[in-house]
Amino acid sequence: MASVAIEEAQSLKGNTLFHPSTVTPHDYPTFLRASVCRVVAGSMMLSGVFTAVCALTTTNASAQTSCALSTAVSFVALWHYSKLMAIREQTGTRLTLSKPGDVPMGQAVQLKIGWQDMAADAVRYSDWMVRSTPSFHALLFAA
Amino acid sequence: MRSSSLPDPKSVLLQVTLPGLLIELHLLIPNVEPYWFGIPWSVILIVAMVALGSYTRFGTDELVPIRKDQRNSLLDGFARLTGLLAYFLACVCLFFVLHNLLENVTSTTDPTNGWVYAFSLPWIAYGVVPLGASLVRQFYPNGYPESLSMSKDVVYGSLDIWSKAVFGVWVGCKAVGLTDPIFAF
Repeated sequence: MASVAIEEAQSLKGNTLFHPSTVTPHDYPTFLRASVCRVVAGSMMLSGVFTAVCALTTTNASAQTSCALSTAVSFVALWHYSKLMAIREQTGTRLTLSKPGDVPMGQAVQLKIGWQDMAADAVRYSDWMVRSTPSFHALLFAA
Repeated sequence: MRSSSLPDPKSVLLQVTLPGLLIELHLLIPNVEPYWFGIPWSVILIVAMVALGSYTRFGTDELVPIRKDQRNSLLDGFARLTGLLAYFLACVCLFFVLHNLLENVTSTTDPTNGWVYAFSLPWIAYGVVPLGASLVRQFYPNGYPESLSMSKDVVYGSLDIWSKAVFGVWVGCKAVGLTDPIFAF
């Protein structure tokens, strides 16, 4: 019993990232990849709320239009980044990377990464495409 | 974390971007006439640019060569050629949009002009990223390099923060007349 306890205590030592129970067949942990998207999403929310407040408080009609457009762009981007976060957290696609402690199985890791990146780029491209919609609204304002 | 021993990818391509912001930039310089065409054509070109880039990305998987057991080589050559052409046309669209926006923005006395340059020129990087990804995948055609995927997230994220979030805050500050030190001009 004592030797088992010592063994368990030993196994807790060292860098968590390189502990045998947390090693994964891919290089970047999912929490790190999701964090990158979360930082951008947070920035978009900050920008969206700020420009919305500015649009409501300014009295200049042209400035109001610009701020309203910025708000729309920021929130559309925020929504798309929430989708990207889901992909990077392994909850947004059916092809998921192994979690720490899992035995790798199914498709090769790089094939899964390729598919996930395809899904992530699909979100990005649709984001860029959709954001042209507020442009047409702005056109109506400008006309 | 250990590196995967599985094979790597390789490839080619390019895309383009950011239409909604184009209108805002035009609205910010109401006294400057567009060089070639008005806002509607700019928006159409931006949408076409994204569509062309989408074909290169999703239609050809960043111009990665198709293995002989997947499709015949003639089809592969056609797909990659059209993918490359689509990327080139997307770049042409971006050139026209930016040149049309910026050519007449020459006044050095109005600080807004400098910010319009600062927020619009980085759009070029949205086209450089897929070009780089395509080049990398030409050398690593099997699978997808995880570092490339991570790099794209970081670069696109940084570009989005600058061209949308920071731009939005700048627009808001300008609208309400805030002279915050960050945007003191």
